[in-house]
Amino acid sequence: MTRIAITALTFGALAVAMALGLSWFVVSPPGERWEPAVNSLALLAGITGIFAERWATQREQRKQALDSIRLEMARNRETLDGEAFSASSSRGRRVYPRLVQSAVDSALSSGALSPHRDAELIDLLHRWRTAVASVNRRLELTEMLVFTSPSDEKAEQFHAALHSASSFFQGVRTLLDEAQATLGGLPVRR
Amino acid sequence: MTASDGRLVGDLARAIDESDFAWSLVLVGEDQRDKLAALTGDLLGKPSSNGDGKQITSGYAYWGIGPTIAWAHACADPFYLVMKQSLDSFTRRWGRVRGRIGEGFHHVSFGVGTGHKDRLILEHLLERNPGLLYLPVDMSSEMLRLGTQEATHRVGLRGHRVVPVQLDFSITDNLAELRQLVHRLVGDEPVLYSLLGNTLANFDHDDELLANLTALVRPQDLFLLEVATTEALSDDLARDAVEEYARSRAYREFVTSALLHNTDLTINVDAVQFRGSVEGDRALKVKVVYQNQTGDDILMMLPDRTRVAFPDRDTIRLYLTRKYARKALDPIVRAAGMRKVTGTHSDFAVPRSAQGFGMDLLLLAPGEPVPAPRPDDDVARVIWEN
Repeated sequence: MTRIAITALTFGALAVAMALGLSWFVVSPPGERWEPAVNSLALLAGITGIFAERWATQREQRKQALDSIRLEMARNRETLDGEAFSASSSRGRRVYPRLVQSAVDSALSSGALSPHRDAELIDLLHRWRTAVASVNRRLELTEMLVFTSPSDEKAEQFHAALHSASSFFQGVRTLLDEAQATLGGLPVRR
Repeated sequence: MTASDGRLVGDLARAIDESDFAWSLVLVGEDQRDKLAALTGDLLGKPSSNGDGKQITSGYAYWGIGPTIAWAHACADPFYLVMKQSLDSFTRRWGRVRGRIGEGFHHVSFGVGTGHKDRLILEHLLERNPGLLYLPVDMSSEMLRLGTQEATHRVGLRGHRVVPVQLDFSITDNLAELRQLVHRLVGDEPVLYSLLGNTLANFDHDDELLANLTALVRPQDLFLLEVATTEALSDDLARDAVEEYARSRAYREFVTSALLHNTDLTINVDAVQFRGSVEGDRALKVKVVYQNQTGDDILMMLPDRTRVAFPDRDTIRLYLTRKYARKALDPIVRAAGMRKVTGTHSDFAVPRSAQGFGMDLLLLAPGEPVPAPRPDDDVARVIWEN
């Protein structure tokens, strides 16, 4: 409430000052119009400067968020293409590396992305975040069951399930492809 | 046995052990003339364009010094992927399995092959049983000589503890005799039987052969089985399997060597054809056939001087092999009355191999077949399925 009152007071005062400046310019004799003209233009610059500063800040935040997400996706790509998740890797017991999502979390919670302009990207990132949380949880379950099983057979079963054509993991790879393609298609600055 | 006979056996054992000459004492279980008659009979089959008439059955592909040398060359060919990967990865797979084998085991090896794998097995077993007896069993005396030499090279196994047995183990009656021989030699001590190198896949009635071989196993014994496997079955994968064999010229020379050795045909290795198919829900099957592509009907002479017509486009099946579906292994093992103690798998980690091809090494024991797992029991799939 206080924020709205202060905003209304600020922009109201600027609008009134602008109106008075214009009136002063109109009623002043022709030889004395320099001062009201300068005063009105300074007020106009003050008003537009507020919006310009806001837009520049938003643009910078969005750019930083997108850069961070791109880096995070590239890191996740390296993880997925690495030896640990290769179908030809060792089938024994192992601790798997995890997918990361901190940049996505930060971008979504900071509001750096525009709900209107980036609606599609935001939807995709929400799906990616859910998939990463799910895959990390499944990896935890896999490790827990494999390490507590006395036979190597369990590790082989999980290896086969992880790399089967219908595995959840294949969906995660596809989603990462989609996310990287979308991010790659976005201009760096708007 | 008299005391004098006992001395003779002892003297013979000492003569073998103490000589620098590479003596090997081979037990020959069959009259080789019968084997030749059987080979001739197999080559008298009716004309067929798809390898269902004339054929050279599994053991005969290795029978004689020519095929044995060709086999050794094929095993050294880097393009013969199944063999190369099987040999390369065996150490790792055996390392994972051997911990489940206890003390005091003897070793009976069916189809001794190059002997490299048997050597690894013997090294392990010998540490736990210095009195180990090693019985390699093969239809080919030349293969026995080749494989046994490699298997026992620098292993520290005394010569008289190696008893190569020349026997066609695909014949049920022969196995009954072998069972008696083995049990007589080892008494109640445990035996590790092995059938490695995807040998099982070379037989028409592979399920029957496995059941017959595993029937030798007593409660204290174990059976080591190695097979080539595939994750899935499809016509495309059958074509990939064919490619794996077809690219090796040494392999073509090996499969035709039995023909070269036992007939007067002029062999053209380009007339060797590989035909892949899906065998039900259990395996990819590769049939290797030799086709008369001369454009003429020809007569081929067999070792007994019989002349057999080999018409134009007629075929002789030279070799049969399979890649078993990994999902089909448990039913195959259960059908043989065995249960899996442990098993390991390794993929063919080479770019030119189809995805999902590999080798499985299974350690089996006799006993109540384990019931087939219910889908609910497959936790791995429940967790990772979409």
